Amino acid sequence: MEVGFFFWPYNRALVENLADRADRCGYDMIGIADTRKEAVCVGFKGGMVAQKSKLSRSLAGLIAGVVCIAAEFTAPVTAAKLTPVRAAYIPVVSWLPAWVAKEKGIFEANGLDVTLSVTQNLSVLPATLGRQFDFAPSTPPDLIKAVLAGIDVVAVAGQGIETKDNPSTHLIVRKDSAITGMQDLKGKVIATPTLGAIIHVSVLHGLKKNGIDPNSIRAVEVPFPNMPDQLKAGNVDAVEALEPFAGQLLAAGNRSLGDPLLSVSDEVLYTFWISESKWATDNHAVIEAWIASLNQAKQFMDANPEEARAILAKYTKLPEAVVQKIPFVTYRFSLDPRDFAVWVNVLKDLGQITRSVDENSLVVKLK
Amino acid sequence: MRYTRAWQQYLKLSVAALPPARGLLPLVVLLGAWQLLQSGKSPYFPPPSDWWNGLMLLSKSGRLYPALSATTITLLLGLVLAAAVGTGVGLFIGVFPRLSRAIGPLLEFLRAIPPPAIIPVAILFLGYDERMKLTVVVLAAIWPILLNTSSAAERVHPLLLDVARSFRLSAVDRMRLIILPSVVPAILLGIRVALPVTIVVTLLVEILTSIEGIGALMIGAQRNFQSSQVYGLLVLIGLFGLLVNNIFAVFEAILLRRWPPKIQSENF
Amino acid sequence: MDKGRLIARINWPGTTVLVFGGLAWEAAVRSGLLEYEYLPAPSAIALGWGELAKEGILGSDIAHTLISVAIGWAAAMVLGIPLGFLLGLSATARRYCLASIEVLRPMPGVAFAPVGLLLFGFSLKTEMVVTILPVLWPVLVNTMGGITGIHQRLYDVGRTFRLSRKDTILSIILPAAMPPIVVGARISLGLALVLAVVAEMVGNPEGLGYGIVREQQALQPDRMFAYIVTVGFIGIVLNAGMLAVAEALLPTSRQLRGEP
Repeated sequence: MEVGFFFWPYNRALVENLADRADRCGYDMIGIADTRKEAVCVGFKGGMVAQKSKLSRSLAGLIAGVVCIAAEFTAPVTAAKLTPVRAAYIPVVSWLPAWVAKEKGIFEANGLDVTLSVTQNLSVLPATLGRQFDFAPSTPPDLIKAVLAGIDVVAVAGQGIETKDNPSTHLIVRKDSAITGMQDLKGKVIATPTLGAIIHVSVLHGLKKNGIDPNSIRAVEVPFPNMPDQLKAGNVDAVEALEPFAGQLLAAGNRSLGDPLLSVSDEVLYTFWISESKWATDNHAVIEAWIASLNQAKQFMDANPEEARAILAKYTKLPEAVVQKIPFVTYRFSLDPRDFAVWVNVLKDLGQITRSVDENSLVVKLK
Repeated sequence: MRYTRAWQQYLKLSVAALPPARGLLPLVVLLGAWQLLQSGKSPYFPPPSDWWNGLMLLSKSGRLYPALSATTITLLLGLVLAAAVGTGVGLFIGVFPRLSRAIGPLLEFLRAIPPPAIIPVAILFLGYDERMKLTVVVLAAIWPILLNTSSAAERVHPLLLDVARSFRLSAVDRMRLIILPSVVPAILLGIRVALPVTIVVTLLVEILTSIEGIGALMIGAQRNFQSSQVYGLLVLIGLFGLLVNNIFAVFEAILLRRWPPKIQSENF
Repeated sequence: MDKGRLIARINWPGTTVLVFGGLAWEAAVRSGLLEYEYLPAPSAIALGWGELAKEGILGSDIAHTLISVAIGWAAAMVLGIPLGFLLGLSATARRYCLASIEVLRPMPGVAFAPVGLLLFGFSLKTEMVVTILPVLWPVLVNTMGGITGIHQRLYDVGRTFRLSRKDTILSIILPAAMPPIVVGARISLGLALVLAVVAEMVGNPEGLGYGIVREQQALQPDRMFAYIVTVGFIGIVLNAGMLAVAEALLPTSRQLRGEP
């Protein structure tokens, strides 16, 4: 009696094909089981007992079953269970829950094998989804513009929101500046980290709300670390700053004009995760595991702030003294399409987009 | 002997100096192939017909022409300054090789530092205006001119230097009558190489700081995911570079029309 | 080599200038003349450099950038010199290619970074996309210019000696065109370094360029400048290496002037 073992990477169609071939070769084909993503198929040539097909099949099935179970016990348990996920992040405090989830094994407990990669630049990320990354960070204007340009991405999980009680972004002026509020900014020079990104969009919106023409100010792009010097030298009149840079500027004695994001709404969507639409539709389970992991990470952070700060220091590489003072962002991991509608209106009002987009198409629908 | 007016001669020289238009054939073929292969809409690789629409959109919004003029002004000023400083320093280095050993490492050091690293320091001292842009552009564009000039100044034929000594020419006269004329073709070659460098660095500064110019438009379009605008602007830049180069080629042809032929020192 | 000659070979004037510049900078910062958060004193930069070297990341970053430079520059030389020869020798080729080259030359490599990222993601290949095109041009144009600038008389000499085509190229064209070719190679090498660093700053987050951005974002200006200084030194080393190679290939006219 000949016994053949066929190993094949698990693919249902392929295995059925294989079963056909084995039949044609005269093997009695049974036992298709997958262990470690490989199909183990045991075939017997020549019957073991008189009734070729049925009995030999069931006996062979038993043997195959034993073989497969044995194989499963010898293989590392986790390898069969974890789904590999690739995510990008920006080394800013907003993305701390993902780092905590990775460091504390929360992702693994939820069945995800996550690889985190650092990047500095939001705008190139929509292009990498589906190729290099499954999850990437994004902000409302970024997503809206990408979708309108025909890029097939969708928001899948929330991250940070900006609220009145916990502002993380400030519009800052020098302590001796004559500017007291947004209405004094007419004709001034404002430093922004990225033109067209969420902070600057909200500043323009705030200006318009205060009756200033957004075109009357001159905006220049300044990376956050250069802002203190530029402000001190007087090259710029106001800077848009994020934690920890905002904290440093304020500690040096400069004044805050307030949080520009709150001009959009008292509780406004700030950062979230996006994925390729097709991938998102096919992988609801992964997305739900992702959201669950982030929620658990947040609970860990609330219970163990010191350890969370240590992880923060590790991923942002900021100096210890700075890390201790950074306030945590307000996190909310579920998404509501209405939060996006707000931003669509803001962008349209500023003339940055010409068409509207249905806010429901921007968020993935999880059952 | 037929009498031809000077401007007719210049015109003939100019036409001879320009690269023939059929040289654009490879690119036209490439664009045509792209257009045929990619007729549908694509967010990242739109067909050339979309590029035209993108550009028209930009020009209608009134942002194209101010940006174009800002870039052109920076370019011209930067080129003139780079040529002046590059030639001066290059001659200095070539004529006094011992001095070149002294400042050599410092210059090499500055040459290697990439513009994106220079920009924050330049901004510190100069702020966010045209001066900063010019400084970075000149610092980057000097090198081809400087290197070509110093290389040629080193290689002035010893016979010519002997002539200078025979006539007991003063240092100034030697520079003016012997060294400079030998070196001018190399200077022009250096400027030729520096032309696209100037354009590239101007655009780079604009891309990285979003100071007014074509580069700022490009990065803005890229952030808004409007790749057709980006490609359209790239084509514009390419044609602009061709135009600038042609103007320079004409200038070079007219300047060098009576130049003595080059003598290489190594082979004699 | 005896100690005396070794001492004589070190570039004393050059080193002195650098040291003097460094001291002036240090004095300016300490005296409060240059008081910027973003511009640290050379002593702080040296300390930052030491930290980075001890942590080992400096070594791997240097290796990454050098590999990027090597590949980009080698590709440019391999493509540029033959093409430059072709264009220099054949007027027909020039007629059909020059205008296209002039159109492609001013394209900033940085503009291709998003395309590179799209095609190759965060990898070395993206850096290549940004580096190769701009680095190609100095080599190509200088080679072409060097060959078209060869005096007619030299070709006459070749014909008088009834040199074969191969001998003409080896004995007349190559030596005559060498100086501009070498200058082109030098410019390209410097440009390759700059572009590799730029590509790392805006595209692939690895290597010295990314180190500059990373330390900047992490509010460590002394470490950031340490990276910039490293880039500068690598530039010096690469250029000195290139000069040595050039000296070996074609002795300069210093010999003809009778200098040692």
